[in-house]
Amino acid sequence: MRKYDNADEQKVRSERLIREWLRSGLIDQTQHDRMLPDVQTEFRRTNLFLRLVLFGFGLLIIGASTVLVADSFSLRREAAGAMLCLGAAIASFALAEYLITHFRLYRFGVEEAAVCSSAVLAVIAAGFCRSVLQMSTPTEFVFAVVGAAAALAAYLRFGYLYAAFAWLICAASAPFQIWGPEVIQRAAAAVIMFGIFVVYGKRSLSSKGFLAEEFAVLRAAAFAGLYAVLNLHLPSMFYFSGLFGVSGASSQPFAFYVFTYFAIWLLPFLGVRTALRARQRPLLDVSLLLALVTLITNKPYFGAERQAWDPILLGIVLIVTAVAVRRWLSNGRDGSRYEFTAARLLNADSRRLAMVGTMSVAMHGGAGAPAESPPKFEPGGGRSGGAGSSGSW
Amino acid sequence: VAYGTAYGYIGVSAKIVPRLDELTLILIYLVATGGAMIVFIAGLARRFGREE
Repeated sequence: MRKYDNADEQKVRSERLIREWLRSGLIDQTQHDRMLPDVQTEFRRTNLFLRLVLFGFGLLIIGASTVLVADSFSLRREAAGAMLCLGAAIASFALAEYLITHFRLYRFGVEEAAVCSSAVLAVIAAGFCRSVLQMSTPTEFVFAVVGAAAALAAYLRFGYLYAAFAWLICAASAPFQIWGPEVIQRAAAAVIMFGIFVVYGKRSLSSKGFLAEEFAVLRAAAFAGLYAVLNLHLPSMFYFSGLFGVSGASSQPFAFYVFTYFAIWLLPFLGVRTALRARQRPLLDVSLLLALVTLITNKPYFGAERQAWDPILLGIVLIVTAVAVRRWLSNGRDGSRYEFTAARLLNADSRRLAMVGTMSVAMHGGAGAPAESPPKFEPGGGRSGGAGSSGSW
Repeated sequence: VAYGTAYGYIGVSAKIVPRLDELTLILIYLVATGGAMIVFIAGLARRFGREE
């Protein structure tokens, strides 16, 4: 089913780990040099920045080519548009297969652009087909269902995790695009997310190597999706409120409202417990993040007004909790308890923390901005340096 | 390198595209130069764009 051989993918992951161990001082250069030849592959890879640029140019070419064909043959009707998009989707998919087979590209950007274009074009084609066939199904629902199917196909064939995330988002948003009470919509989305959580939970425990890690990430993502559809005040926290057809906490039945309140407290607790038992870092990280979101959305659940000191209190609670957990772990035998340690083992963790810190500063960048300065004197006699020659007389 | 190529391409295209008065010409320009850029960047990636 997968385009890449599992053994090769495992080698790619192992190579990354070996490099990370060297950077973190867990192995020395001699050990690194001895291990590295065993995990070499024929894949052509590149770094993240060039990958992004290649991805952008790939999208540009495929998009421009599709519009060029439509323009050259004056395709104006919806049926012609559907056929064109479907043909372009199949061609893009075939292009990705060709690039990977003949050039051995692996996360190189170009082949990823072809796969993503294929999925997007399939969604657009489905939208055109809906119009041609005059179906009564809402367009957004068709987009969500076809988008979920296309993203899942891309993940299963090429193993792109972001395609799997797109699949989860489309699958969770599909129930919100059809008519019916929001309680039913949320319940349907929750059932879908819970199903995916259970399936990938089992697969992550029964698999080994990189597949186990990948399934653990998907399990954590499905868990986050489950929480997201049950937290009624989550959409109101962000600017994209209503983007997926979610209306928020208003006009919800009281019993459902209370149920979701208990659910958002229970889910992070269950997530942490499950993650500790299964030794799954992604689920642990997500559950702790969800616990934080629960703390943030607790007040809106009671209709209480947010105060300026709320973030300060939250910060103090987090600091105290972090210090307490760290001390508790450090005071265990060899600085660990139940095989968990507070010591930082890999450099990647500190890089990740630095990235989160940068993001948090970027998110609150407006807070420290200087006050708007009073309007400056604007001479009417021309631009600076022009000796007034550009002024109007 | 990535920033240089991307911004360079955007800068040159911002000057050239407004001078092309037909949509077909613009699309042909995008496809042709986009393809050339991919070949160029793939060559750069082979030299010093190894994964870290």
